[in-house]
Amino acid sequence: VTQFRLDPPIAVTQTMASGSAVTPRRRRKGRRRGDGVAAFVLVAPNIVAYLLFIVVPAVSGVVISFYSWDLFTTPQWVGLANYRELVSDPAVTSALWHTVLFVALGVVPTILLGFVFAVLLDWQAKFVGAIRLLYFLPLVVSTAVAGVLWSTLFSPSYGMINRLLALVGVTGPTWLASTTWALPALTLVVIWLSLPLVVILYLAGLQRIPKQIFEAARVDGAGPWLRLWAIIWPNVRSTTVLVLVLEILQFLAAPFEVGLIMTYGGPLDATTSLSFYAYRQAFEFGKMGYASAISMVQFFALLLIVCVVGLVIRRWGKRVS
Amino acid sequence: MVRSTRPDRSSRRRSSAGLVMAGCLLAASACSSGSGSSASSTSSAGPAAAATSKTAPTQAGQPSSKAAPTSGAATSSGGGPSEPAAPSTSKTKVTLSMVVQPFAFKNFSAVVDLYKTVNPNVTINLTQGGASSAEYIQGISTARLGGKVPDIFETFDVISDQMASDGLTEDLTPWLAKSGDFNRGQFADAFLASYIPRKAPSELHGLPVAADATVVFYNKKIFAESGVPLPTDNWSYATFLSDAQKISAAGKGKFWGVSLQNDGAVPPSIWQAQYQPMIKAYGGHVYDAATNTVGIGEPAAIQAWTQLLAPLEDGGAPSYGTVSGASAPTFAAGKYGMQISVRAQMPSYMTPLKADGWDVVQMPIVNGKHVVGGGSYGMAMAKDGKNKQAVWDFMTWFYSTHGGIHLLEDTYATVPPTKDGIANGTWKTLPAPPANVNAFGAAIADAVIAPALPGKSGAALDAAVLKAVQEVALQHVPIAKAFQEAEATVNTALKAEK
Repeated sequence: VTQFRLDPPIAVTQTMASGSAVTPRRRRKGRRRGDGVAAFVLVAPNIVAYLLFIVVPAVSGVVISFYSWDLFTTPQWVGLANYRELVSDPAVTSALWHTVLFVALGVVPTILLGFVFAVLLDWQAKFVGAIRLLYFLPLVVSTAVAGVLWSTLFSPSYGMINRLLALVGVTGPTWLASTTWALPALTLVVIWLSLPLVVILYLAGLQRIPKQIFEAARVDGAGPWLRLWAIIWPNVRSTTVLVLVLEILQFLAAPFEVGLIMTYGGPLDATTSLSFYAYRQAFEFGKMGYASAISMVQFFALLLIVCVVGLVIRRWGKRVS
Repeated sequence: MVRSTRPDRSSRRRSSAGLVMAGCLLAASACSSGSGSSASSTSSAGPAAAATSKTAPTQAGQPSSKAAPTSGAATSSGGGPSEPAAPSTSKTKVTLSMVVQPFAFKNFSAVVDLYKTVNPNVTINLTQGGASSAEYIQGISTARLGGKVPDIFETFDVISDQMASDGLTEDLTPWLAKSGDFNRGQFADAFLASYIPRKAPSELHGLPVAADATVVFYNKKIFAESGVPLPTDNWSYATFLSDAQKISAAGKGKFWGVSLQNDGAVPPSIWQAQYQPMIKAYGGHVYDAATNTVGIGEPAAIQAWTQLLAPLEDGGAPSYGTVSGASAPTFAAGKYGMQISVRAQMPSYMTPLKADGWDVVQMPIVNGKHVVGGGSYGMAMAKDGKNKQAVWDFMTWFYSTHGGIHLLEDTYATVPPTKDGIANGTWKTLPAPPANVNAFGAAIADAVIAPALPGKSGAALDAAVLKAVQEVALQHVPIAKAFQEAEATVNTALKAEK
């Protein structure tokens, strides 16, 4: 009975395999074509948006950098004059340096803090609720609100930060009016704003590590520190690369918004980044061409940073291997 | 033994690919975000498209702009300036957009509501623009480039010339010429002059809303707590400085003598309405149109700056660090004994300072003159607006007998900038405070009106003064050195101005 019952399906399978072997291939081809169309339809809006809002303005920026243009009158072709001007403009050098400082001071602490918070959340450590609140809070606060909030915290007369410092006998500086402390203060704000994304990305990375590895490590007697250093950190390397690049972007862009609200690039241009300087040149002084040339400098600086980061990561990868 | 577990080759490939993609993303976004919103705004009107925008400035400088009212009328509620003016009632439904600065928003909301009752077919959507001059102009400029220029917008003395040269504002001369009783002769010349472009002296690119002149607002409670007698109209600048010092000493960090900048000004600087008259009182000048130069670094100006910055040195004002940032102490919050300000700011002081008690007094005297700065904010019509006739109807109503300006006057916000309004306005008979209402009238008579620098050099002046103030306050750079450098910077910008 069993044999009888099994026969028909076997027969059907055989017929399909020998008699009509072309059909599944055709189906696969058709399915592939269908998948292609579906993929195109799904991706097309993003490509259009990317072209419209990123590529076209970027190309326009390149073109405008060769013109003198105040937004209203006819643009005048000036060739490389804008680039010659920025070479001799000390404010550009200063803004470039501030941009590098923002990235240098902000990116590494953001990655480390984000990683630590994510690990604590993943381990369900004590006070996990408080940490979760802390890392979610910046997500629901706009940059403008964050700017005002942190301005109050940094207030030399009644700000929370200087009051806390006073408790341990330290006289806090006039954060936002100090040419020394204003940039680190803004960096701190950007770190606070950036943490949620970093924590979420690391949490996702941690979820992907197979539990068996931890089990094996535990059996072998590995303590928490060894597990952190030898299992977790190497396994979230791809996340770290992504976070690193995103944070470089963030620390190139966010100081513009925060600086606009909290210090307006000051005092004495101490928090003027390249993008903020370009913004002022474009809209305060009507020098669109010059502003675009500055943006090109930022573009090449970015390219350089990406290349260096890529090189370092490749070498790091080889060393780990 | 636990070995370091490393990602496999495929994950390494993934991270390399991610790096390449991220690199592309970085590169593209550098171009677009590098100049903030500049790139996105220019995408619609880059050099190739700019041919359309080149006509605007050309027309702005031509007498042929007389044609504008006709074309404007054709697209609006019909009829041109030749038709009866204020207040006309639109028969067709029109929606206008209007932008003002944040300080004027509340007052103009009431004006817009009042106009709706007079002219139900016209809806005015009122929105706030940027608080600083730079942000405000940027907002209007980018709106225009995007084809969404507001039909009516606030303009003010020191930016009017830039707005006119950018082709943002309509010449109102032809509209006024055909409006019968409503004409430019009604306005006080000193305040109207701010809206006459340097390059087109026969044109008028706005109408003043307020005749503003600086007075000293003072907090009675703080004066009493400090044991300092209340100021009187004929006080000297030395008394002003010494009172400020005494109040700060009594305040011990809880309150100070004088605020050097308007409430909420970020970053703090010395206001043009303070330095213009002070420099003039010492025999100097800020801008000389004949030579197209500024004199903010001249010896007379250095004397003026020394006096203006004295409270930072002697403690009459809080340190520069204390007033930096968005949460700086304010006069409205009862943190200062004195504040140099204008009537337009008065509504923001009235409620919070009701308990403390407050009044005004004329600006102190330097070399026999009250050092009063003056100016105005005004209303402009968009050159590219599509409802010009409806806008003109609103403007004529605004200045009419029962128009919006009287609503502003009755809410303490405005001294009307008309000859009759200054002399006989109802602002004089409003209940106290302020009790010393004559201080405003006297201030208007004494006011040194802010000269608008050509084109965008006004922005260069603001930036240079701010930098010099910060150098003096934060780095103790000698005043003469800081302002001589500032003068050189602005003069370079003036030379570059076409």
